[in-house]
Amino acid sequence: MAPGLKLRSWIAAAFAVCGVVALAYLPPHGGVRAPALLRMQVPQPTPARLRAQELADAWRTVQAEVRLRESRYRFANNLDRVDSAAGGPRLLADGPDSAVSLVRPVLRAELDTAWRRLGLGATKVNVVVIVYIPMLRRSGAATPAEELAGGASYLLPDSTDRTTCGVLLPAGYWIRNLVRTGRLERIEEFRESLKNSLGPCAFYAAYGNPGKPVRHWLANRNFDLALSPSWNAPGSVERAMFWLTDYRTGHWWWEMIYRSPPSTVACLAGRPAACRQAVLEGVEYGLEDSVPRVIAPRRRWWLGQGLVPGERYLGDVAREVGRDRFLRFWNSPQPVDTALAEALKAPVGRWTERWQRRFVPKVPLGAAAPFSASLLALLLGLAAVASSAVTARRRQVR
Amino acid sequence: MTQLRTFVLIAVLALPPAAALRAQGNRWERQVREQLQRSAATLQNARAGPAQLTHTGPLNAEESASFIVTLQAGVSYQIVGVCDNDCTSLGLTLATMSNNDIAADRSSENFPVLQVTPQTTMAYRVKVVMAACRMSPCWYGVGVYRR
Repeated sequence: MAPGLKLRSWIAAAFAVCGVVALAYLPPHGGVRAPALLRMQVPQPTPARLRAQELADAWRTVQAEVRLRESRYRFANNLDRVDSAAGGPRLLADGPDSAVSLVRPVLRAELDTAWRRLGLGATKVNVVVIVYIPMLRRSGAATPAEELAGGASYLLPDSTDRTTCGVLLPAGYWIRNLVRTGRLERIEEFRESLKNSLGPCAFYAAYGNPGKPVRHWLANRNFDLALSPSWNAPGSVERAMFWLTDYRTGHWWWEMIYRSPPSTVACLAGRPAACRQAVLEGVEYGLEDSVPRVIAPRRRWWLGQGLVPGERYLGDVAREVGRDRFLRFWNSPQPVDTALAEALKAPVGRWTERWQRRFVPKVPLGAAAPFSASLLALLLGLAAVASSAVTARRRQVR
Repeated sequence: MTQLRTFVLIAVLALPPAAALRAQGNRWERQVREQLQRSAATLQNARAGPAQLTHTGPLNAEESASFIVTLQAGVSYQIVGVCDNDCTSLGLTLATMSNNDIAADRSSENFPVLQVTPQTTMAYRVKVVMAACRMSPCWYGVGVYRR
């Protein structure tokens, strides 16, 4: 074979191999992303979108604060609208009289049920649940965004009022539907949702006002570890996992996982030191003694949370260690890491890693080639070796 | 001083509460009012006068509250502090308005008592410190009695 022809055939073979690799790996034919139908459609956080979200969160917080403070004033001056069962949460329902008269007795009964399920009776810190029932619009009219946005917001006790915790409950799907149809649908789901809406106020009612270290720690992280009073009920894996995996295929949604902070991702991968870091985020506080009084969890707060499912972390700690030990931790003047390790009777990182496994299987991190890619590389390698061997057999030394 | 404190403490724990107080406030506030009433009854038996002033309220652990009281020169006073069942340590201090301490009791767990006879008639500051509370807030009560 002439040398020029031989060189050309080698170049052609190299291009052919590149073509095969490109066909295998370049979109739209394959790659590491899940097919579009199975991917969660999350808008990319452009700077403008991030700024808009930040403003929206700030606006919601201010609006919640105004409503909570107004309600507190009216609560003190307008007792005919306040409904309280002995020892239970107080209810302030506001809105059109016809809607209030329909919603109030139902909410009163359901709040009492939630209260009993939490094992609460008369408490040092009173919980006041405030519900604004909007005027229902004629069908086809759009509901204003502020009426749909977000979950409950909280007005925590402070030095001006140490004994009242306010919950501003948005009139969401169930309440609107109750006003529209006169019936409460999917009642167990509603009860669970109502119980979780009590959030940090349920902790304050059950365990009193926290000591200074715990108060600063939780305030620094927007009370994300105490949003669900879960001390009376074990959680379910499905609820914690719904945004992390595709339930049909079991594949991880890496886009969602990597929206979390690095310590959260490493904790999902089963690293106790990272779990400890994720739990103790926000423990540092300086000389500034005041903490924000209004807590308004962000919309989609579960995206980018410190632990998965962080909202029930302290509820689960309380269930596992028992009331007395949790109360000592909650009121402890010691640093949070010391007090928490003492309550858990275990290192914080190791306990948290075990707790995480109950809800989320270990996420495989690090380099891991897919099976198809490994097979293709092996075949290409074999082809290269074979062609070299064939060429070497034909070669004649003169 | 120690005998008086023991006497009042036993009385506070042993005497039945007044029925009229049962309906006021929450359970913890009632505990404090009842304790104050018992201490008043005990001090009256010990020839003390009626309470010149009582002050109650809730405090979180490690927090403090102050209020002003006018005391007469040459008159003996007893200032008694009580707190609810979750409170394990309460401190009581009497100071001038310029914050010079005149008397303090920080070591009597949840039942501090001060005995003072001021040299000058003037306004004084009574400071209550909730040193330890198992479940915050804890309710405290302070009574100022003339002897």
